[in-house]
Amino acid sequence: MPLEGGQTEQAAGEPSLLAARQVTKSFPGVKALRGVDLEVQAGEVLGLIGENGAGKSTLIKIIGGIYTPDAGELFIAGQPVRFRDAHDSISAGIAIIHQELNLADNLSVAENIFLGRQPTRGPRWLGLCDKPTLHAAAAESLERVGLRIDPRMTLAELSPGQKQLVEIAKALSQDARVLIFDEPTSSLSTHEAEILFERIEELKGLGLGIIYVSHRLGEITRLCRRVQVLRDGAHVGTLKGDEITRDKMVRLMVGRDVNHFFARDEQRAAQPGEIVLSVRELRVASSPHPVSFDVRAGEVVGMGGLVGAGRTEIVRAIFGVDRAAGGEIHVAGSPCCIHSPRDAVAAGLALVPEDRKTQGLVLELGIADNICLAIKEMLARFGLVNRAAEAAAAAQQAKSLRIRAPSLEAKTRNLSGGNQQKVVLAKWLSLGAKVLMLDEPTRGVDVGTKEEIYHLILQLAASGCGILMVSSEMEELIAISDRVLVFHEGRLAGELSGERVTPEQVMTLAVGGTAA
Amino acid sequence: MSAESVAGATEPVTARQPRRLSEVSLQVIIMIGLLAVLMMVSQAANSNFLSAYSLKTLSRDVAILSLFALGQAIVLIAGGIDLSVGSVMCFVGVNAIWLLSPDYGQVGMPFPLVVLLALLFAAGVGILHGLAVCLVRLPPFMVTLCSLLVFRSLARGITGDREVAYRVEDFPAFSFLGNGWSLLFPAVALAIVLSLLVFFMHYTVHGRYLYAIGFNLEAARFSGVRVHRLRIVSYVLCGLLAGLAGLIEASSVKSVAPSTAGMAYELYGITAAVLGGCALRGGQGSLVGVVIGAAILKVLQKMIIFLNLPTHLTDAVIGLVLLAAVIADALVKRRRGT
Repeated sequence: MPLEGGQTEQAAGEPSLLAARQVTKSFPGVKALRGVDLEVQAGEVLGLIGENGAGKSTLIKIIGGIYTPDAGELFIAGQPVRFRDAHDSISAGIAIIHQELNLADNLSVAENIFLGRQPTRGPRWLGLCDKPTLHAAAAESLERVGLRIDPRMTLAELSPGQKQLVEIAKALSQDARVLIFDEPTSSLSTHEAEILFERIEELKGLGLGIIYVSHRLGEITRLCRRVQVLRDGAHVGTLKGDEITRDKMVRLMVGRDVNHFFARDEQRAAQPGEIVLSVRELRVASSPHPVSFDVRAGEVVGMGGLVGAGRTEIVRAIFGVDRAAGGEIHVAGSPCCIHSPRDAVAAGLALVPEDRKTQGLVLELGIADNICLAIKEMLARFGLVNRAAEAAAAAQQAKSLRIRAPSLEAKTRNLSGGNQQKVVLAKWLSLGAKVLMLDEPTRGVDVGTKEEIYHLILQLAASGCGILMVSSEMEELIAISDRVLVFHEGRLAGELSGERVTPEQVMTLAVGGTAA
Repeated sequence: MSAESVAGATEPVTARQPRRLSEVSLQVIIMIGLLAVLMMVSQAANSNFLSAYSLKTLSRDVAILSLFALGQAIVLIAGGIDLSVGSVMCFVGVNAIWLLSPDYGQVGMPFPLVVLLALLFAAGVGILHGLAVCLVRLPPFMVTLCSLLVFRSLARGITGDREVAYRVEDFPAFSFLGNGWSLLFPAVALAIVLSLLVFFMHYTVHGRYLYAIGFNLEAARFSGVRVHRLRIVSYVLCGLLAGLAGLIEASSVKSVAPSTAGMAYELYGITAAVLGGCALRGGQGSLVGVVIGAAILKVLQKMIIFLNLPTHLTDAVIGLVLLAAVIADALVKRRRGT
């Protein structure tokens, strides 16, 4: 498709479209960015990659005016700028295409493109819609992204790929000079992604600066001539041209000394016991790939992969939170029909969910009530709550887990992340589960408490519990797990054990490569 | 994922599908059908149902319910809710008669002034609701629940909890609101209001932005829509329409008891709005549908009277009809996988 418009090649020496210098940002307990530099030229697609939590999202949010940096500066065409909110960033010509699109399904395509800037006729206060102008302008914007649809169509009728192109059309109609794509292909089919890549090439030709954030390294090698790698909030390297290979990117993303992270002093169970959890051909709704694996008593099985690889979905399906599309689950050798978390608990499974604040705890209740939530019925006599037994059970757990709180009646809302997580663990420990599943067990937990949680997990394993742990933190995955299952886009990409559990191997499988 | 709409890797995405009948207009057609069936059944059971007088009173009842249900619908479309409608109507109705008639120890205010004050008050309540929701960031349910309690109680306090009444011959102008042109004035007022509101919601950018706000407040805000101002406008419109409906209702019933007038009307308004396709989560609804929803409610009520069924069953019937509508909607949505 031919594209018209100002095709200005950036002359050498001219200031870059967008530059960030020494950007630093901290959140309570975390240093998210440590003096990061970034630069985008006109007519360039810059790749931005890094592990989960490396600081990519924070950097993008700072550029988009959603966060303000603690230190450092942003420059647009060489001029320093300061964004107070998203508005400032948009008017400076920056548009972010978020993973979750900022569109309204109930409006027409044209109304979405010009949301907040719809053309009007007559007096301004009346705001009479100028539909002919709106539709003509929208058609023109759609033409620029090669989307040939009627701008009067309701957005809900479009496919995810088409919606993405509408979002790009919206950005272009705002005269954006810098487009930032945050994992743009995560909800697209291969075909749709292919079309998106062509549009990106064309936008590059028009002299726009593009930042492309993705976990999918294949896309990065295809689109980018320059790739910037973040690790632990710092800019650890830039790859150019032929240097952009999967191997080099993985090495930069991972490259750290993991040996000193957490020394596992407990002996790894020399002989894992019987199979306690056996998952056979399990299919979750979001993925076409069936998954099979086993967990043995006394074994810690890690589930590695990138955010969105489908690990949480698998754990939720095993626990009966979401209905599985097919497959079988055996607990301790006998097949189980799990339709709800209640069935799962009865079968001897336990889940420490991803979001402990909404799924793991009742924040308004006290520590004792939370610990006893799953065993209340067992302790109850004649249907009446047995307060004394509950208090005793809670006190015992709180003591052995070293939960730090003013009292067992204290609301869990007021506890630190680490103590909250211990309360969730205590809930399942008091139940004596055969299999404990943990989803990101140390997210938002400070370093000291992390170690305590690791020790607890290992103690549990030593006492004969089978552990299945989803983790996006490489060190934790490698330090704690006896075996690691690596997932890639809903598929079990490979299993690593013993000497083969290395960051490089995990990352290679996680980005869709094959293990050595 | 719909891959069939994607032509090929090298071709631009195309999707020139024929515009299908939108969900809302389909719902409106089904509801008109339901309304027609209800009216035919009633007529078959009692031939007085479609008499001229009966139709006129029906038109007035439908008009009053529609007026405040339309206000409710606009608030729902913008993602809010207004529970104060019934109490505001009661307050306006009671005070209109109380100010108008010298019987209650007042001077007897002129009719235009009474109307002006009533509408100013109603709009003012809407502004307060909007400010509390937008600036203080209180949940609309709570804010308007407080108004529900406060204004009914104030109406009872002002009159000493006595019924207020007026004589048609003393106040012809006020009487016209509810009874003029042989009972058809309320329907005419509704026609005018409905046209203005359809114009506002569908032909001005403000209305389109209200739909956007109700569906995705953040997207609207990030796109530079003045979200606060528009949400306040939605509450003001709802208040104004409740005020207008309160005046017309007081005029038509001629005597208003502050303890019962407008009781639970906010819930009937929500019922009509939901029958008209409004979703409680916002962003959806058709104003014409709301009027048809209001008509269905009133025809059901009248039908029960004309069929000599016990009138205390009316709400049970309305409740079951609403439940059926909500279940049908949920089933259709589930089948579509949305």
